[in-house]
Amino acid sequence: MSDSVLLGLDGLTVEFPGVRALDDVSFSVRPGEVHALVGENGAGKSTLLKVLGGVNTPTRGTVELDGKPYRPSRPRDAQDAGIAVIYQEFTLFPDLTVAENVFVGREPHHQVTRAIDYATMRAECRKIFSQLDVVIDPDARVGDLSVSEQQLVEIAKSLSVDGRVIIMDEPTAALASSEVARLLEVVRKLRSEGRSVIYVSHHLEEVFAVADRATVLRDGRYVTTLDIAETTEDELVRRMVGRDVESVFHRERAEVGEIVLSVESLRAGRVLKDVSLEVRAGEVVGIGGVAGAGQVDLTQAVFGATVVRGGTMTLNGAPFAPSTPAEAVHAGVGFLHEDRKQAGAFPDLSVEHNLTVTVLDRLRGAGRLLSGRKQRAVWRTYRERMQIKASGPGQLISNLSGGNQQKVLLGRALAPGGHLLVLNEPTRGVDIGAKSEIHQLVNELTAQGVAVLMVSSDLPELLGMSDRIVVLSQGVVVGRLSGEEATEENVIACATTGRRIGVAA
Amino acid sequence: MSALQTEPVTTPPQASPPVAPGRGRRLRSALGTLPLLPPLILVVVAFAVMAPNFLTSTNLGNVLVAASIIVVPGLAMTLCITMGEFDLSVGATVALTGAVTCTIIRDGHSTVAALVAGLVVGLLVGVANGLVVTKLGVTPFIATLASMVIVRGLARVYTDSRDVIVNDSTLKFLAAGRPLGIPFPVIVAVVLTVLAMYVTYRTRFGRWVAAIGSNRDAAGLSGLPVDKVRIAVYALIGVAGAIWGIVISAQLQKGSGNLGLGFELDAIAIVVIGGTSLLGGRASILGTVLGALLIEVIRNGLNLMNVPPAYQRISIGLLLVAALAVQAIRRRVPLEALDDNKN
Amino acid sequence: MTTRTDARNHVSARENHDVTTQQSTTTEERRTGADLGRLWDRWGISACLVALVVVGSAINPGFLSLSNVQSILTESAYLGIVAAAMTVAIINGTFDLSVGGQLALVSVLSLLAFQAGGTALAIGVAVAAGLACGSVNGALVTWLRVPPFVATLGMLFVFRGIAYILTQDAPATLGYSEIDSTFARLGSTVIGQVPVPFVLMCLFFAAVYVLLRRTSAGRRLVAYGSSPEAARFSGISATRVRFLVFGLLGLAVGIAVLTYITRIWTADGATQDGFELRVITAAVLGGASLQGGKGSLVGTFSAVLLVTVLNNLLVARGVSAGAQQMVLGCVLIVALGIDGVRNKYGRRLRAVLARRRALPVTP
Repeated sequence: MSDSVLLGLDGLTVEFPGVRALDDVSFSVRPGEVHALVGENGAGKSTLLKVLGGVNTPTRGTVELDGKPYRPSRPRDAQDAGIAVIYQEFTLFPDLTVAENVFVGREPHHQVTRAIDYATMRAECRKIFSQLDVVIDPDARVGDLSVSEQQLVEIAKSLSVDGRVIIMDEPTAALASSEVARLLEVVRKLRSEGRSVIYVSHHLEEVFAVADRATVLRDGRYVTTLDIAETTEDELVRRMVGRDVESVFHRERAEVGEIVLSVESLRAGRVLKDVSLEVRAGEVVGIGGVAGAGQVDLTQAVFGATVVRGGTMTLNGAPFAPSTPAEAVHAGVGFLHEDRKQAGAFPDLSVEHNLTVTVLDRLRGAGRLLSGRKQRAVWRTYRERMQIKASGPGQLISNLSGGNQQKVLLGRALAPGGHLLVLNEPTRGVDIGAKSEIHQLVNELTAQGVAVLMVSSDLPELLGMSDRIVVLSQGVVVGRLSGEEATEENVIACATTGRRIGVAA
Repeated sequence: MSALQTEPVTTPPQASPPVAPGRGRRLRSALGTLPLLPPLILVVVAFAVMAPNFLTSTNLGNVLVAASIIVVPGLAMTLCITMGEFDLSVGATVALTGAVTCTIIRDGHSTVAALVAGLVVGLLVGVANGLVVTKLGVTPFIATLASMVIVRGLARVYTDSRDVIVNDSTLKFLAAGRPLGIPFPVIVAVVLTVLAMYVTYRTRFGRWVAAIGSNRDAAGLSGLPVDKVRIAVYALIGVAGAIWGIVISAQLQKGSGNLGLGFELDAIAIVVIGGTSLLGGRASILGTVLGALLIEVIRNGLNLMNVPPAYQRISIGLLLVAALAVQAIRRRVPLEALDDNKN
Repeated sequence: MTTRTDARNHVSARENHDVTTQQSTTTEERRTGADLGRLWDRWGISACLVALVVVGSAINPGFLSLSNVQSILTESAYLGIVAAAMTVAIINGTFDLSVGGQLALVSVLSLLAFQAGGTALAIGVAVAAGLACGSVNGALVTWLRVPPFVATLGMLFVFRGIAYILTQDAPATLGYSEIDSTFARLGSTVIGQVPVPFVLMCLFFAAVYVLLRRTSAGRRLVAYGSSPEAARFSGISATRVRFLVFGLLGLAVGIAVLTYITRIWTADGATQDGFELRVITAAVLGGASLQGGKGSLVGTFSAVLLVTVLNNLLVARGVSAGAQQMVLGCVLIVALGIDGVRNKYGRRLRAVLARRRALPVTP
């Protein structure tokens, strides 16, 4: 492999209001190499991909393709340049056939009659698929294919434009192990054709199975680029993590009481296969793992928001099987959704309305009408307690900062006064000040005997605020960490490699 | 410490109700209209038994003509619904076109000029709809609602709210002529149906329409000319509405601002009953044709049985609802069960 | 009486970022844009109404006469009552295309009931029949999961059809002898110069306002319209909420019928063809947005009056029915155009800024 450069990034910086997602990142990709991109959630990988794919424009810095400046202003530019990005949410048309998808917008057609030349399309498709050594019917409807097959269609799409750099974002997130093997074979094939592949993944086994070099990003900054042949998984993990754990997270352990939530062999949602755990009053159990490992299924199952296929749950000793969130709320479970924008806040409504929506039935006054006084009282209580900065109960929630919005939503989860609090990414998109306020609140709650189940992809937060950590991977528990064992390396190792701590192997 | 990114879990793209996977996609979509064949046959048989004179060639001919007339806008509407939108103004276009065409004839100009003018009117209405929807970004539902009101108002103003009576041989031919023994409207319908199938399934344009309906965001990202395609589809509906207006006026030998009331609902009904999903992405041209036949058979049969028009309306309404309930029930595929089954 | 769902912020809706570290230019531009937008949202239609009244009294000397004003107020009632309910539906993120059919059917039933049993029965039947129609729609949309567009479209046919059947031989009417009955006079009675139908309309708007603001069911309804996903995770039942919406529409039709047939005195299957479109037009003019689950009762109230006043002026000037329709359509397009352009412009503004500051280009 020569040392020539196909794709070169120099001083790439991307800034959003209040945050620098990429900070002076420089590295290069060689022709005909599989170049892995690793880093934790929030390290900046997605942003980097979006820049290369023409979705975002960098604030500073340059990218060069084959020595010439590469500045795509929209996705089509990237395609034309031969850079194909395969995002986690595919850009496919489920109602169209495989061939139609592969050639969408560039369909071969007869000049005069404008008819699509299906014969040529099919033949081309077959050629591409045989290059990849897979068999997919060009006339099959994409919506009927499995996720793995759809992914292959996406790859075929990039080959049909003769993609020179193929970027895959978490390609194996939704694949079964046999399908992963097939994908890695395909990646090797691509490399043998002289194409370059940028392979973004949390799964270090895959990186070591197929990549030539790996670039590590951390907090938006470039850390290093290592030759896979000359390094180990542990070393990579160390580079991904290596920072001082900030003392912003100050967990004050409370007295631990009875078991509040008990989950046994739970099978639920799309991914969760077999998870057992307990949460006691006064304790914070943290759930770690890469995105899509089952955390969402777990918390939503506890909240009655997803289908439970197997296993049992108990709440305060009694069998617990909520079929709707309403039932869970009624049973005393508070829930904070990880996606504040889509499923947390009611964007057009006031902070007071957002806060009180779970307890409306308790705030009635004269004649079954809601009492303004009682609503105001609830608002004031939580504004005090959580230090919410808002101009008044009627302020639009979307005008608050992220941290204050989160506090309002936390208040909503707490308002019914339950024994179990389920937090998903409690401080995502929240500034430092609000973060510590929210954590302080968690401390107070546990001191009062509330049990807290917390999912967080922010490792320092997970480590700093949890009494115990349960690590999930692909729907099962791969690590139970507490005390000395609860380190960033261990969490990442369990989540991304075959390492097992505290569980039967 | 920036956990800002929302790491999405891969969600397989959602689609209209699945058809069994495998080869012969075009065969599949043709077969997808099979659901409509049994009811159609059933209904024909039922009326043959219950209604006097149903099976006479004259009567069946009437049914065929009626279906042919309504299928034209239905075809265009199929494209629109496949794109994930709908057009409520086509009934008003009928009125305006009829009014313009008849007025020009009544004022002594050539019939051909009148016909051309009518078609142009329809085209303009369609393009206007398309522009409002794309450039102004108004939801199709409301935009076409508004244009329906405006266009009908225009029709009424243009005719001074009086019927425009004509007595034109060319028009008569259009409505009732029988070149080669086949009614003219039927010929038009057959030709346009074949054309529609060709365009929808075999041209880039047709595939792009389906792509937009299947995943609009991806369509934009893939570089498809979404706005142009949308405008074109609305233009087609405008022209189809114009044809409809011309034929109806030809039949009635008059133009009026009150023609075509409620027609848009009929057009949408035959498409939906025919199996094209409101979610978009999958066009069923043959389904629309069968839907047209079904509706006209029912109308005709009930007429022969002296059933008041009211029952006809009811039955079409119920049919529409039933067709959708069926679609909705079929949509409950296992994947959906993962989400809470609320709305 | 600002009753809209706690205002809206068109340009920077749904953006979560730390206020503390915002770029100043962006904030300022957004703030001015948002303020103007908010002003228009709140008072735009009411301002247009006032302007129209002023213009009207200028060109039409008899415009502000007592009898004309009373006539306008009376005429606006049935449209207004149903438009209020339709606004609620739009706030909830849905709509009902069958209200015209419901109006026809309930009118017929109520008149028939009057002939059978007098005023009390007529009123009772109107309300009950309205609720029944609403319940059918609610059932279709929730239990059978038929999309509201098609469910109500289909039921439009069905309701009108039933009305036609019932009036096959003759339209349902109040007999000539009944003209002096209480029922027949309901439509023209006045309470201290204010026509009863208008009073009913005001009461209904007030009741709906209270429903939305001060009852838990109403708050849940509004929340659902704002974000169905967040509603789900807050334990709000979509079924209950939708049933409430369609039931309310049915009830509104029932009450509206009482203000309608007590003046028109006749009904059949063709009654008020196109009514649903006028209702939705009024709601949309009043600021309702079908896509955003937003609506404004104040706006709708003003829009209904605006439309009625406009009609009144046009009729007084001898403008034909056709032209009246055109004017209405144009008004709608203008209002929508403003809304649409503002949305698009807002988007483009953000896109331009994004290019310069690497903001994510969100659609």
